[in-house]
Parts: sequence; C-alpha cells; structure tokens
Amino acid sequence: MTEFLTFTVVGLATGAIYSIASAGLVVTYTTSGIFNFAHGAIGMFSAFLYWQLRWDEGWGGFWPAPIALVFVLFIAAPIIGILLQLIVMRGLEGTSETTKLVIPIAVMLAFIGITNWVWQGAEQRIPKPFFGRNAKWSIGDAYITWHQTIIVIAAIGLAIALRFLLFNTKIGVTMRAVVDNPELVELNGGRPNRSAMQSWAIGSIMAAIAGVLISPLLGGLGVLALTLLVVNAYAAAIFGRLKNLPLTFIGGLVIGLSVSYWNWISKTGQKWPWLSELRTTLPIVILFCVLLLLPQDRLRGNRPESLREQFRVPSIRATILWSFALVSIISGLSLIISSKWEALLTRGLTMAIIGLSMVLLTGYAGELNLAPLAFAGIGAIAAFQFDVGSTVETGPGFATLATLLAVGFGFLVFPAFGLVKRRLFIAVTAFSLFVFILVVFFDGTTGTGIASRESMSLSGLVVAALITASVGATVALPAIRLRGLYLALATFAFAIFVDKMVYKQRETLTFDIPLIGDSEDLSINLFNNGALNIPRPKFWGIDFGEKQWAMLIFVSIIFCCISVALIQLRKSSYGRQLTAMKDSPAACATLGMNMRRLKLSVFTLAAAIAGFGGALHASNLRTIQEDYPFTIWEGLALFMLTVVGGIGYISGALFGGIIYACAFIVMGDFWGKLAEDWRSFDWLFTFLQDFFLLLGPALAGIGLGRNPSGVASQIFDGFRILRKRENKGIIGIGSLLIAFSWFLRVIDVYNGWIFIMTSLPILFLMPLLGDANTRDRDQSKDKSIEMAGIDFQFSDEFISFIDKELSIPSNPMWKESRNNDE
Amino acid sequence: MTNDVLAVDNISVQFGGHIAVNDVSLSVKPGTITGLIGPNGAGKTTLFNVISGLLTPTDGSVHFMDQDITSLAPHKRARLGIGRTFQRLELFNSLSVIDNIRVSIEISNQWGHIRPYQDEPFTKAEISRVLDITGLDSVRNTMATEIPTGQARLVELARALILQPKILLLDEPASGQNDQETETFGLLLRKICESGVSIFLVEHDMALVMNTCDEVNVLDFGSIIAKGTPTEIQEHELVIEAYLGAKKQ
Repeated sequence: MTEFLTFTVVGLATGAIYSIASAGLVVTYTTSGIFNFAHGAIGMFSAFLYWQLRWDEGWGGFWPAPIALVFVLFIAAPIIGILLQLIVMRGLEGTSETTKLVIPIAVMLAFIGITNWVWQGAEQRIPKPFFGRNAKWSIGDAYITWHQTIIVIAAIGLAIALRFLLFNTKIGVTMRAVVDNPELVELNGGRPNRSAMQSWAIGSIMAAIAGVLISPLLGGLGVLALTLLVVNAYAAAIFGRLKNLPLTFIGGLVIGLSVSYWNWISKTGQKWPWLSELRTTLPIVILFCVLLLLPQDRLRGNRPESLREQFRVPSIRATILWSFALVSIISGLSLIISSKWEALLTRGLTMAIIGLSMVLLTGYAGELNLAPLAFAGIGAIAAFQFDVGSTVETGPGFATLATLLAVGFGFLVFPAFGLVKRRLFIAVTAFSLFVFILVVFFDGTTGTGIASRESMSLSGLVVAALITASVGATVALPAIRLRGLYLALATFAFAIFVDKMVYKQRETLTFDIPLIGDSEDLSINLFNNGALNIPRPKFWGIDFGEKQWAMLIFVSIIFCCISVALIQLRKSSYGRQLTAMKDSPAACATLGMNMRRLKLSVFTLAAAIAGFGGALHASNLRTIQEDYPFTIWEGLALFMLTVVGGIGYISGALFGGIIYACAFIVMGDFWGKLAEDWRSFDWLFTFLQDFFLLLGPALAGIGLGRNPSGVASQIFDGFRILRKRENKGIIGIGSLLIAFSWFLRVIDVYNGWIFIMTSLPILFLMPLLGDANTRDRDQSKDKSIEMAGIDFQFSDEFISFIDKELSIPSNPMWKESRNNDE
Repeated sequence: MTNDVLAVDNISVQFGGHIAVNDVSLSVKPGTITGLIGPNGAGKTTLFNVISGLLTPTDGSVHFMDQDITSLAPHKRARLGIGRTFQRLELFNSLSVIDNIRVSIEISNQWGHIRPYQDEPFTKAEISRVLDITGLDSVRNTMATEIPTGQARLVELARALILQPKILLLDEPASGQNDQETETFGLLLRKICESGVSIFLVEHDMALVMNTCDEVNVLDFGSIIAKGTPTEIQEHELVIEAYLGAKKQ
C-alpha cells in the first residue's frame, strides 16, 4: 500500500506538470490557431535560465528563489512569447498547415541550438527542489515532498485561473475571438495583435513553469531530455482536443499516473528488459492511442484559394533535362573536389532521396509526416538484418517472407495506378516473382541464416524498401483517418517510439512467421550494441566502398530516377487524385473517392522510398548509431529544410538534403578555418561557426514564413529568365566561364576555394544580367501608357514608341519643351 | 416501395444545444427539379451535407432509390449516383479546369468501383461532352483559381455531371452569375433534367427557382414550413413571413 501511495504521489506530481504544460499549449492553440511545437523547448530553456540564476557560479548565480522565479516566469518567459508572436508567428496568416507546423519546429530547434550554445560543456547541472530534498510530509508511510505539493497546488490554481481568464474576462473572450475572425474583432474595437501577444506570453509562462518544476525531478538538466519531457504534455493537450482545459488537466494526470504505475509494475523497466524504454515512451503511446480514438472533425475543404503556397509541376522533358544536368554537374564536381566533399555531397543526396518521400506524401498528397527518418532508420535496420548482418536467424523462409511482402505491397499500391482485376494479378505476380528471384540470387534460400557480407546487395535495398513499406502501411492503417495536425502528431509519436523502442533496443526478439519454417523463424537483435555496420553496395562490378566518387554518382543517378518517376506520377491519374485529395477532401468524397485506400497507398509508397533512401544513407555512412543519423531531431530538421526548400518540388528535397548534410557543416568549417588562420579575430569566427552550426537550420526554417512556396522555386524562378532568346548569350558565356574555371581547377592551377569564389559569382550574376537585359528590351513594350510620368519617366525612346504605335509623326516642339522642363 | 429517387425522413441535426435541422422530411421525384429555399442559416446546406454523407444526422433516415443510405460513407453514396456541388466552392485549385473534370472520371475508374476501367479515348470523349454541355470549352486549360466564380460553379457542375449521377444536389449554383448567365443556367438545368437526372436545388435566386423547379420546399429555422409548386409557394403566408419578417397584409 505504501508503494502504491508513493507511486501515486509521484504520478500525480508529474501529471500535474504535464497538465500545466499542456494547458499552456491549449491556450496558445485556442487563441492563435498554431500548435506550438516549441513549447517544450521554451520550458527547457526556462529551466536552464532558472538554474543559471539560482546555482551557477558564473554569470547570474545565487539569486534568491523568489526573485529568480519572478525573473524567469514573469519577465523572461512573457518576453519570449511576445517576441515569438511579433517576429515569427504573426507572419503565418494565410499559410498552409505544413508551414504553420514547420515554423514552430524551427523555433524549437532554435531554442535547442541556443541552449546548447549558451550552456556548453558536459558540466552536471543539477537543480534542487523547492525547500530542498528533505522537506517532506507524510500520508501514512508515504512521504510527499514540498516540491511535489507545490506542483499539484500550482497546477490546480493555474487550471482554475486559466479557465476564468478565457471564459470570464474580456481579455480571454477577445483572445478566443481572434482565432475565429481577427478582422471582425478589429471592427468591434478589439486589437487582435495585442490579444495574440497576450496568449503567447501566457503560453510561454506555462511552459516555463512546467520546465522549472520538472527539472529537479530529472536529476540533471539535459536539453533534449527536458524538451521531450514537456513534449509528453502533447498527449494531455490532445486528450482535451486542444480546447477543453478540464479534460486537458485530467489527461495530464492520467499520463503522469500511467507512467508512474508502469514504473511500479515493471520495476522501472527491469522486469521486462525489452520493454525497458516504455517508461519514457508511454506518454507518446498514449498520445498515439488518444489520437486514434478521438472522434475526428468532419471532412472540409482546405481553402487553398487563400493559401500563399503555389507549386507548379514541371514537364517530364524538363525534369529529364535537369536530371542529366545534375548528374553531369556532380560528375564534373567529383573530379575537382576532395573525398570529404564527395562524402558530404553523397550524404546530402541520400538525405534528398529520403526527402523525396516527403515531397510525395506531404507535397503532393498533403499528408503530414513528421517521421521521415524513423522510416529511413527502419529501412537501414532492415537492410542490415536481412542482407549484410549476421545477427538474424532467418531460417529457410526468408525468400518467402520477402515475396509475401512484395505481394502485399503490390496489392496496396498497384490498384492506385489503375490496375484492377486481371491486370492487377498479373502485375503483382510479376513483381513478387522479381523480388523472389532477386533474393534467391543474392541471399539464397537454403541457409540457416544470411552470412555477414562485406557489401550490400541490390536485394538488400529492395528488401529494405519492402519492409519499410509494410511498416508504413501498418502505421498508416490506424492513422489514415487522421488529418492535418493530428496526423502530424501521430507520426511524431511514432518517430519517438522508434527512437526509444527500436534504436535503444538491446534484447533479441524472436518472431514466428505463420506457415514458414519452425517456431522461431526470425530472431533479431534490432540495434546490436547501439551501432550497426552497414557496408557500401557492390554490384555490376563496381565496388562503391572503395570509390567515393562512384557512390556519389550512383546516388545522384538514383535520386534523378526517383525524381523523374515522381514527376511522372504527379502528372498521372494517381497524382491528380492525390492533388485533389490535398485540395478538397470533401469534394473528393462526394465524387466517390475512397480516401483511406488512396492514403494507405501513398503512405506505403512514401515509406518505401524513405526506407530505400535510409538503407542507402546508412550504407554511405557505413555505421549508424542509436543517436545518429535517424533520430526524431534529425528527422524534424530534414522535414523543416525540405519545406523551406519547397515541399511541393523535387528541388525542395534536393535543397533540404544538401543544406542539411553539407551547408551548415561547410559554413562551420569555413569560419573555423578562418578562426585558425586569423587568431586575432578568432572570437568572431568562433562565434560565427557556432552560430551557423547550432542555429543555421532553425533560422532557415523561421525564414520560411516569408516564402511559403520554398526557396528552391525562388532560385529556379530567378534562372528562368535565362531561357529567353535574348539571354542565350549570357548563359553561353557564363557557362563557358564556369567550365573554364572548372578546367583550371582540374589541371590544378588553383584550389577548390578559388574555383568556388570564381564560379559562384558568375552563376548568380547570370540571372541578374539576364533580368536586366530582358527589362531593357521589354521596357517600351511592357509599360502601361497610363503610368508614364508616374512609374517611369518619359524617355525619347518611349515617346518614339508611342508615336509609332499611334501612327503619328514625332513632335519636335513637344520634345523641345520637355528638354526645357528638365 | 416508393417512386422517389431521394427520400429524407424525419432528419434532425443538432450541434451542441443548437438544432440546425429539425424533423425534416421531403422527397425528390425522378426526372424533376426540386427546390429547397429558405433564409440564411435555415439549415439548407446542413441538410445537403446529411444527404451526401458529410454529416451524420442526430435522428432520421435518408433513402436513395429505396435503399437506406443513412450510415453509408460519402464516397459510397457518390458511387450509388448522388452528385453534388458546394455553396462554398470546393474546386481542386492546383489543377486546371479540364483536370478538375478528368480527375472526377479517374476517381470513378479507380479500383473499378463505379464502373469498369475506361480507356483514354472514352475519357476524352466524356470530358468533351461535359465541356460542351456546360460551355467551359474556352477555359479548359485555365487553372481553376483563375476563372470567375460563375464559371467555377459550372466546373463543379461538370465535375459532378461526368459521373452520370442519378441525382444532383446543387448548393447555390447560380451565386456569382449575372442575370444572363443565370437564365442560361436555368435552361441548362432543364436540359440536364430532361436527360434523366433528378435535381435537388438550393438557391437564393428566386427567379431561377420559380422558373425552373417543379416543386419547392421551404426551410426556416431548421423546419419545413411549406411545400408545393412554385406558384403555391409564392402565395404561401408562412413563406412570405419568413422572407419578409411580417405577415402578409
């Protein structure tokens, strides 16, 4: 009984913190319509700040608790909230759900980056509970600390105060009204911007309270651990459907108690070792279940007419031409860059292949998936376990299993391409036969396990895609009824689940596959010792392990092939249906579309691409670890950068992958090298190095609000001017100059930096020159005559143009009077 | 067994404490145009949402060709032959006009549910037929976002028509059209009706309703207050009161 009481008290205290955090989320969402993904990170940042003021021996330090609390909770936190609203969130009006999701994610990454930057080093930072660890009172034999008591009292007080504020005060009613119609609020004398700022300030305060209260329970401050702990509050917020504060409060308590009781039952995870991480994952599992069980909003249109995002679809011919150009440029670059750059570029391209899965799922179909790298990680694990690893005991049925997966994949995806009945059966049979032959050829069917190999086979990549596709379908099956934010949160929960339960899994799991082999068909140690060694591919006589340039060109070709296939798919009947589903689910339903089947097929297909890309990415890196490169944080960063690049474009995926893998590292290296060479300015260059490494991706994401259609399209739009006939000369001369610079680099006249310094300015000067050239030529043609003298000055050429158009002779008197005026 | 294409029996819809539709019963006969009119907020669109399956009623049932479809998903109702347009435009704005119509027929081909897979020549012929009927040929390659509201409503109609529905639910199809366009639109509705498609029309343009409909239902505060021919409705006391806010002197 004492144990039960103790765990109940612990659960109530933790649950009360979740309640506070989730109430803050609900306030921000109810009043601004934005789900603040940065909520956990604000709480984490506040906890670090409080620790700094209270206990650090450096700046700040040793402030009395009340003053430190007032500063953190009522000065720093509201300022953070207000600044977020003013600088970032206010610009999100008229953007899609994807953009509204990505920018708070960017803010979250920014807070993580800032905290890592300010509080560097491995120093142990241990906040103390209020009134010390020994201040406690008891109920029977169970002790309750004063810290826990304060938590519960604070939660109850805040819940009542919030409810009162939102429903019984003018400020609260205005805050809620702003979400429905800011223009109407303004017309009635309200100030929408001020209301939004107030709600963000209150949300921030709640996050800060949660962060400060929870940090002493952890034993030590950790950036990611603390952020994730407050993320657990998402489940409570969803429990209250992001609007009901009492239900949210109850949800927080349910989660806290569930985790605490699970710890009690499982003896903090020791009873069932393979479930040891469930104690940290349970809130996320609850989040997933709550999302699935909640009734969903009825179908609505997406109001795309009001969105600022616009994605054009390029022609197949243009895509093929660009693909050839990309492979040619990369082949050319491989001759002049070092192996380190080759490795970075390869990494960027494999990430871009994973990014293509997001283009298909989110860009084309409008389905949000925050777990792209979880699927990629599963692909990598599958490739290891079934192709090159030695830990799997597969028995003789592996080829059969692969074939069954191929059959499942075929039946899920092929009908979406119009294959039905006899044609479907023929296609599925052909595909599964292909997979069977592939597996038999590379892996055999008679062994008692696949021997560890020194290279990955084609079979490994295909099986990785198939297994990930089947996992994607399994996750999608219950989740496809969800849309928008709820779907994003469900996939986010899945990503955290994979992070904790798969990557940290150390136990050997045994599966019995029906109809195949004996009772232990598959025996898998999922993430053996926290790292998997996955060798490079070797086929068609090329060893991609030995030659980095070959790997680089290989992945660029793969990227281009998938890109062309995706554009073809977008232009097909299937692509049109995906677009229709994205634009108006309600209209699709009333035209007879079974959206669940379509969603299931696109989820499966996207997961297959992510799995394939993940296997390739892992193979390129050669080793993957539990905390790199497939974690939730990396996944969020890649998702964010792909959206920044343009989630509806192939170039968006390319931008996301390359920027993620190369740009910030290169920038960091660049400033680092300058810091080494220029010792007197090393403080500045070190600052810039940290800035780009820690904050670069986040700032790129935050900048998305200015151009929701993506940066890549903007760049391409800039170059589009060069297609005009009058600019052929500019493009010809520019290309020749770049080729010449490349040639000088090939024959080692100068190094890579000079090549970059010469070719990049030429590259970016070309569209500017083209634009100026075109403008000059079009000046007289495009100008509206009514705007003469307002938008532009009368010039002799313009007057001659008007005279010519109006078929009147030039008037020398008029020209003379104009000259006199000047 | 009735002759009605569509029968709505004692439908009620409640949102929290607000009763949007209250015990409504009405029917649409084959080969007719039936109108549903009423002031703003009377519950017309809510009733359409119930019929097309986007909304589950609190009470009552919907029958289509004598089949109870109350619990059927929206896409299954569409496959039975219920087509609809929306009061607030629901076009596929990332697609051109022709692709809006094409995707509709492609959805019907998908998984072979509505009809067997049709080849490209058939699809093209069908699209041309519908473009001809609706007069959208001149804007076939224009993006859906770039056409005026009146034409956009015709695209919605074309998109529904190409599925060869048995009944069309049209939610304020003439809004955004000028008088001449509305008149032409009335003739188009008649033509569609003569081809065997029943039409259930929600409309604020009284001239269109009175000139086109065979029967008119009037909804006010969620309840049917009058039914009858256009002439009967024009003279109905409760209708005049609902629209003008006072009893006829």
